Amino acid sequence: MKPFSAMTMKFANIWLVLFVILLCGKKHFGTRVGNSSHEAHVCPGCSRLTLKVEFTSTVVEHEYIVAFNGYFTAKARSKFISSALKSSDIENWRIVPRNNPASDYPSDFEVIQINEKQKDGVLTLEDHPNIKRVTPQRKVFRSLKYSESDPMLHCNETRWTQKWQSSRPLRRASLSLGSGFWHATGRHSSRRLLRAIPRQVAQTLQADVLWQMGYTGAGVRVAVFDTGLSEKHPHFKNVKERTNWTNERTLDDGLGHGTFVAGVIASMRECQGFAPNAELHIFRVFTNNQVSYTSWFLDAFNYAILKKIDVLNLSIGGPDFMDHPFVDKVWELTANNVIMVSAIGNDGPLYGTLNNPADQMDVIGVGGIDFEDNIARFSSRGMTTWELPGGYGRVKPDIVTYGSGVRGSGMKGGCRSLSGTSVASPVVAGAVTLLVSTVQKREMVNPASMKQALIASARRLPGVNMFEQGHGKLDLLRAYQILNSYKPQARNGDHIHTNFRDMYQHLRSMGYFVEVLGSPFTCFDASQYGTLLMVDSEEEYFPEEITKLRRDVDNGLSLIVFSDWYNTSVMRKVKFYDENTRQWWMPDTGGANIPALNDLLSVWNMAFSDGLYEGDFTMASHEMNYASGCSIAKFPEDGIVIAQTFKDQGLEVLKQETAVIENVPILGLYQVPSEGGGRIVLYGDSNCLDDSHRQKDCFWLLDSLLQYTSYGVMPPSLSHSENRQRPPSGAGFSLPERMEGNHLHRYSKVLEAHLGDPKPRSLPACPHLSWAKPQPLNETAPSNLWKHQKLLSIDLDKVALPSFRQNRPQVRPLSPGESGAWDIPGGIMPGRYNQDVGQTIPVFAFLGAMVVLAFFVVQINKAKSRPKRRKPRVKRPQLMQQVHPPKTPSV
Amino acid sequence: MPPCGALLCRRLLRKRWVLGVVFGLSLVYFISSTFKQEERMVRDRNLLQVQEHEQPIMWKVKFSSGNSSQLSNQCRNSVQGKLLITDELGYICERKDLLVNGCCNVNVPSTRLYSCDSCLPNGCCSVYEYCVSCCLQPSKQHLLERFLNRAAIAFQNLFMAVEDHFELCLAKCRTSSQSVQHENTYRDPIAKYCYGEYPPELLPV
Repeated sequence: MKPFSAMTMKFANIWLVLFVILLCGKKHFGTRVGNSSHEAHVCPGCSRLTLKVEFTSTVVEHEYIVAFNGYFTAKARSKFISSALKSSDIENWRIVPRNNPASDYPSDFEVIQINEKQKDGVLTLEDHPNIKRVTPQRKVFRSLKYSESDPMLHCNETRWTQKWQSSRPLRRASLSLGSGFWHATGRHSSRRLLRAIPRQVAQTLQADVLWQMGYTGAGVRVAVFDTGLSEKHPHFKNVKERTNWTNERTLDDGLGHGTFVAGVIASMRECQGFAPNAELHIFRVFTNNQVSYTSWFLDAFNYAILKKIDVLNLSIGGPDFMDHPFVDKVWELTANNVIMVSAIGNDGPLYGTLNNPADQMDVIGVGGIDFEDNIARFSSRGMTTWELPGGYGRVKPDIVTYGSGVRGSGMKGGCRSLSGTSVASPVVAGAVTLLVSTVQKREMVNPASMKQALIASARRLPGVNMFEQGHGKLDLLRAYQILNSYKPQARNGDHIHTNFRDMYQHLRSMGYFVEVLGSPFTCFDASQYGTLLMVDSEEEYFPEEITKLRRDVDNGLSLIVFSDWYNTSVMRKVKFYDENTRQWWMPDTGGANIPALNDLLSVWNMAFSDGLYEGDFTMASHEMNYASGCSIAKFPEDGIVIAQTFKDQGLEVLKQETAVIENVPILGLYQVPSEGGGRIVLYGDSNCLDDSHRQKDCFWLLDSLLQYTSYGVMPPSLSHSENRQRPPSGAGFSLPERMEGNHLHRYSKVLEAHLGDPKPRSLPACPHLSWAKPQPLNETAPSNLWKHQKLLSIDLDKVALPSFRQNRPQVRPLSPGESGAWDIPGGIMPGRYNQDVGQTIPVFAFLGAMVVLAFFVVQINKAKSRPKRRKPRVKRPQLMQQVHPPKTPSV
Repeated sequence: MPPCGALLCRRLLRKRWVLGVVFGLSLVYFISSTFKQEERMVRDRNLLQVQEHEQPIMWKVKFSSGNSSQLSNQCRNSVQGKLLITDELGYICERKDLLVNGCCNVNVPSTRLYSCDSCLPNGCCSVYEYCVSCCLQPSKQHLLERFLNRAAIAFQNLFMAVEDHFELCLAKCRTSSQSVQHENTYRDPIAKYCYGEYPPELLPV
């Protein structure tokens, strides 16, 4: 079945050239970066109202700005200027006073007014040693204009224009960072005016465009796991079901959190949600006292699976990813095709504060930004910590969207605004709901494809790192475009960090340094490297590359090639009809591009054949498997060639016949005869290095081949192998030709479509790397200064860690500012806080009340035992007299 | 009279002992209601976990008389398994042996009917798909009916929505509030998928 590997290769990035550097001697290694050049497309006027800032500036006559070399007091500045002007006969000048708080401090410039039209005289100022330069004063006029623009068509066009000189489909380009990477948002576009932005998220994210196309979320089942929803809320028209999973006997929302969240997803009036026609399933899993238990969730999730929910919003999270039953259940949900959207948490700006379940790989974790595209301070940020210490952790959040000051439904109707990642989460959930309803083939929608579409379409926010913004800001329309041209994607390319990961790990563990060459062979300094390793290469080569490599090998660079099969008859035979994409797939190359490799190797009189062999064998007492490889057709006389016995797989595929062929040359080792020349090794099969097809690995072989190429040490097991054979001369073998009509040029960076055969492009320029100059800041401190690191002020013994109750509620709504209890600084978990306080308050209140009661009892007893006072009643008349003084007779 | 009554009231209210009594009464009310609420909360939680109520829920599960009642060629199956899948007829097979219509390929030797592998005598299994397959045995019907009749209130929502034997087994075998202790650990981390009447046995942690 091996030939089918070719099909996946076709979609893969073909530019697989692996580059191995050997750790040897005094050579020093530089880093090499791929030359991926991205063109950024500006997308102007993507919002409905376009703000045009126009400005003009004019020179102010007679006024000049004098800049100094440093900061001086007003007195010194004045002295400098007067001494500088003394020589130029200018009398009529004055310093323009600037009265602002900064004038008390030294400044590096002064504005002067010279009433004479003496340009030359002004220039003499610059002769003064303390004056840097003199420039005319300018006056800037700025005017603002709001203008309506037709956004959609224009935007789509600009976003999808492909400037890249390649015939790759647009789909690929959209996955790359290329389109609109830096200009995604206008965050760094010089000076920016803060403008009033409508807080209606749905409109801000251009959901109305999809509404106008007739998509309103109809037929999509959305589950809202929150504090419930009242029965006859005016904003909702399609509440399919409300269920209660708490111990409170109500379905209604007593907090407003659940109503708000449901409103952002599906409100149909006032503050509009994204998908007003979606089927709402309200799960009340959170009490009005903000308490919830894992077990409630387990049962509710089971019900969600039974009801075949499509999208599930969980604006709730807890820090406890060790809660296995809960984590398992979330996996179970996504395995049942429930797209889960969850809030990443409100514990920012601290890093490593992600909440579960949003930090799970299968969940879409949403962070918050404000309407100015700044990451919200409260938004929790990455990376995930539950892989530690065994793994490295992952990037989270997945995506960010508006979560600050968003308007949504109020508890009894009307709108209110709320902040928090629990607001951002339903924004994405609503968008996902709307997106699901746009897809014709619903079976294409699953958590993986939805997440891919969201991530691929997200717009990076400039100047924000990936642990804060994840893959960027949600872009609903781009996600729509991507989702509707979506094709299932399994693996994207051969790479040392994907399917050749084990090989990379092995090489690193053996102490080799590995670099990937992302540019043509002409772009690296071969004297810095030991061996060029080419595994499963499918790209063509520039003629310049072929001559460059020959020169490099003559000068000492070694070359190891792990090839694969290439047989045009088999390639035609294995084409198949893909039911997903409804088109025929035909490989554009075999397992490897052998015709191209043969061009590269021809200068040394070497070539691979078009044979296709398979079989198990033993080499140097190692069990080996030849999955689907070619043989060596031609090799120099003085080289060492090892052969094995195999089945002819090509014959099997083509005619379903089995034939065993003896003495198939598969491994060749060769020392280039020139002085100080390198060594060349060929092997016919690369599947033993590839994680996705490997049955038995051949890392040991790679090791000994590297030993040979770098040190010239030939393992005796190879040189004295009984399978050693005379090198084939090439006679009797037909060398493979490139298949006619193949479309390799569509994917190639070397070939270009032409009438007739594709021709190589002109060699691209090498990427130029300008190295930063190292500036060491620290000098080595004397060794007696060094002390063990320790915590500065905390006595560890005295810090008693709080003992966690096992049955504490592990989840809570995430909304800072809505209730004080949810926004507790210092990393204390609010849920626990609430519960503890809830238990201690009555006790304190009771004690206090008892004291007060005792006080009153004592007082009453005193009052009873004391004899009655007499005076008070007498006092009153006296007071009355004072208030109403006796009338005096008038005269 | 009214002014006189008002005057009397005002005078009465000025007396400290009257105020004291009013305060004391409200305090007693406050304390008692607080305690009552807490008690109720604890009771409610217990109600959800351990069912005491006798009233049976109105389930509407229809057990098919034979396994040949299936009309269409399509099968529902357990969807979620990475390696194994159980279809609605009770066949369990490897995922690669699943046919396009959602049924298990019966002709593959590894496909088995009503398999109870990995299941313990208490009705709990360590593999979800085996639990479903085992639960689909016609002989398990009485067990399931008995369970439905005395299911906890917490399960009402779920099991009232279940419509047939297969859905019931899918739902019953999932981990639920019955599978956990202290909210965040499984009662039995190995055999946690139960088709049986009782929750998994509590294992000492």
